[in-house]
Amino acid sequence: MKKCKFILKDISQGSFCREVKNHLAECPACAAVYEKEIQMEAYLLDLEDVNPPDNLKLSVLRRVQKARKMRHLLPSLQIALRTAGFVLVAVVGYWLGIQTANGNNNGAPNETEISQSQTYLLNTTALDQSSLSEIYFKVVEEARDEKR
Amino acid sequence: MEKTEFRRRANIAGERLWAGIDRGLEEIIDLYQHKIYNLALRYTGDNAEAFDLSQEIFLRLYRKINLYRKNSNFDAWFIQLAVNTAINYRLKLNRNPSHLASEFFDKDKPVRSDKSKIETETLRQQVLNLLSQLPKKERMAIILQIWECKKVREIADLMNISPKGVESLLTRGRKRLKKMRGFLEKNCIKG
Repeated sequence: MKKCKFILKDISQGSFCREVKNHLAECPACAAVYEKEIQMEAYLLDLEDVNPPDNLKLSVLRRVQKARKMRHLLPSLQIALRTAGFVLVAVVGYWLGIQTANGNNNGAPNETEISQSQTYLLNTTALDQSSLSEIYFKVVEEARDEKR
Repeated sequence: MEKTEFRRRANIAGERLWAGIDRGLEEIIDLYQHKIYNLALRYTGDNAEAFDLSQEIFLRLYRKINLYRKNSNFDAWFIQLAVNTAINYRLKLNRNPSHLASEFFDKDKPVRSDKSKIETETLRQQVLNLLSQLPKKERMAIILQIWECKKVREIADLMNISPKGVESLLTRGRKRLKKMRGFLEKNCIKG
């Protein structure tokens, strides 16, 4: 015969075989559990509907009105923010322009410095290219010698 | 009000709201506030939160009405919206669930006499609290099945999951509710 704990497991899973029924007839404790098990569903079903609070409709309408206001405000807020952004960019650009024109370029290279650095760069690249070609020809010659 | 009549009026109100007529929203609130508030109450288990969730559902309806397809079933569309809003809703109150089961299923109380007290507010609140401890989706599936009398396929459509998924949610939910009582094993002396 099944023990109580197995019977209880069967009851909780909703499976009621003959063995369970026989056990329930003999065991009042399990029978009580079985009754409560059925009651659980009954309790849920007995939860009757309640009336909503009287101010529910009014508060919903108020919140909708607020949302509507926000909806109207949002595009104008976006436009204002965009305009502010454009103004800021224009002001910063203008200020930078003035700074460059005055020669106060805060460490940025002037025209002479730029031309000097360009000549330097050209020379160094030329040197590098010539040395590279020398190395290349040497390697090729060595390879040919090895073949011979 | 009959179901067909209710749906007809709901469709008219829905289309009015969709068209931007303010009266549409008021009509929808009048038609649905009872249903939505009870759904929210069973889902949250608390009056204040149910009130807040109900407002949230109607507000969401107002915001999403442009997604409603004209001439389709407004009732089904709105209930789906309500279900999704409830599932995504964050509960604000922190309840301590540990004591609820023992309170609800006091061993000393006679089994049958409890049923006569079901209408009392305390017991009602305890049942609601017990329900609100279930995971969101399991809770919603059980609510839709028990109180909205929805079939598995309908619940699946409302919750955007497969019917098999709904079945397993229901089974798990019921098992969990039973387990919550905690006293099952303790109550049995024999064996």
